[in-house]
Amino acid sequence: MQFKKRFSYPYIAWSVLFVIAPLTIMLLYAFGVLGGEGITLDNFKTFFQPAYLKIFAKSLLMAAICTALCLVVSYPAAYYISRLNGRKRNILFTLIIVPTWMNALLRTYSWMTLLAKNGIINNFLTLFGLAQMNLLYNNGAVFIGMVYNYLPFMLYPIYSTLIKTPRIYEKASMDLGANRLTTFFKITLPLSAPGIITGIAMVFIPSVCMFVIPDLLGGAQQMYMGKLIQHQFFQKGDWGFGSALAVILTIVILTIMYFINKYDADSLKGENMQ
Amino acid sequence: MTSTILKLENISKYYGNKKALTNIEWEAEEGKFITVLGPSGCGKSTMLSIIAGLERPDTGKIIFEGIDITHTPAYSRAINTVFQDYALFTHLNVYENIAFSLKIKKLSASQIKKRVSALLETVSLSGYEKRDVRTLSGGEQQRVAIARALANEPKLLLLDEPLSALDLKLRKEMQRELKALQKATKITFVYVTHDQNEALSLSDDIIVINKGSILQKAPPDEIYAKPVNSFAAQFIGDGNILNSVVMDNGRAKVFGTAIINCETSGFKKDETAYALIRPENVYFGSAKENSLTAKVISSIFKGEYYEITADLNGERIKGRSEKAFEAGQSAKFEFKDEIYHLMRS
Repeated sequence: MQFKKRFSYPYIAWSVLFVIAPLTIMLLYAFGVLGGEGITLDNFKTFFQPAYLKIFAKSLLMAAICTALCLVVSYPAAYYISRLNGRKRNILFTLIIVPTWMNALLRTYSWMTLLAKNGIINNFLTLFGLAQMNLLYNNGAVFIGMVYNYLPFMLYPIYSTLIKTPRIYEKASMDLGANRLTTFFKITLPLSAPGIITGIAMVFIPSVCMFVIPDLLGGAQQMYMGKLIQHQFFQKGDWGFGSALAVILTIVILTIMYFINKYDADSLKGENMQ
Repeated sequence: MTSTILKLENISKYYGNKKALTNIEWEAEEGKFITVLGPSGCGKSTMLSIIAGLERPDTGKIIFEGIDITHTPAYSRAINTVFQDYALFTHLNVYENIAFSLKIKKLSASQIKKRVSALLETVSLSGYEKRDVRTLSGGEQQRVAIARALANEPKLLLLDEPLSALDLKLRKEMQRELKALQKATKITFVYVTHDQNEALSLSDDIIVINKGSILQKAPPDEIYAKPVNSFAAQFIGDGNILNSVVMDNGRAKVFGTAIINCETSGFKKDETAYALIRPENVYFGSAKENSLTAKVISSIFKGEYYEITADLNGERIKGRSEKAFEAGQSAKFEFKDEIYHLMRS
């Protein structure tokens, strides 16, 4: 036991150095201990202005929509793939995972070439005498980029719970008189809830904080939470306010995840079904 | 007057090139307890899935209450199943599991409640409504699975090795309860097992199946006394299957010299056959002059008697004795005066 404990030392060292220390520094900046005139809540007060709150709400909403889109697109795909037999299943699943091996930034740039004013799609449209469209630098482009980027992170956990759930449950449901649709909603879907929850966590959190995709596809005038924080650090040099924003975001995300997990635990116990 | 509730006509099922079931034909009388007995992988579970509608046969028909239901989906059949590992829905509690089919039928909440309480009482689990199915013991899960399958008041209940996960004592207890339940409800049971004792003690009829084909369908006593071939004989009960030569008028020779009385109708004189002699009919420690002598291989104390396994000219013989023998010792044995069963294969 004592010996095995040593295996965790590298991890502990790593997290102290790169997780706990930065978080502490961030807190010290946010409360004005570092870079300010002593303990103050001013940085937090600054946040509670309509302009910032709006950006915050917009980021949350966008992340929520992105998560929902990912879920709606991934679930049927994950379901379909999980029902295939061995070989086909592995091929399709690999095809979905392979793009994630490529750098997210590169993939976002490729979306820019697709959507740009003189990009592939618009060139294609003009070929047929159609007018060019403004596809890039709007919320639509941001959604496309984000959903595309995060899709595998939603698909994978759902897929893995679906293949792990024994098919006998669905058989039992049909045996008890439920048709395929009822079986799906009463058995398959609730049993895959853990996968959905993990998927939501893996998509929602990074998409609230994301700044590269909104920056590249959303253009300069679109401001999001991630971009705002980045802006404070690198453009404005206001580390105090930037840290306060990061702290608020962390707290909000943790709170949301707490409730999602709690709901999940309840639904697994079946308490909300009766 | 009993009537046929289920009829399987020429059912075959293939998985790729592999035959799972070949030309399965049998019928079940209403209210009977029918056991499908066979080694694992013989196709008995596939047959059950086909009756339930969870798998489609490649050939043949299933007639249920006089109607061809071969293409009726599982959810429209008045047939329910108790699955091998129960398949209780882990996201639902005991009450919700049992109420599952009733909710689909859109019964009123009060009707459902009444029915679930009655079912829980039937399986002696009153008060378990709110329990998480994952916290129940094997026996309790088994009961919930039975209650859930009975909720819909099926005409036919399929049980796929329902007791295989339970320990011996609990298994015996559940066997008694299942039999009592079947008698009380008068539902036709089709019970799949590889346990011969279970089959013998529960059934009105046993269907012995091997490699996807039915070997024999008969009541337990008949299967025990007159198995159709040596496979069925070995599978039901303990038995010596001895090479024999048919003599005239109801006699056969075993071990080259010993003469036993046999049912020889259908056999020709000097035909070779297999004689089935149950160990309870072989008595070691015989003092008769014409008794045979074999070399003891093992002698196991069974409480009331010793079970002796011995070798005579390369053939094994198992029997009983009042006293113990040493391995390697010579022992005389004789056959009880019975009319023994002969088999061609």
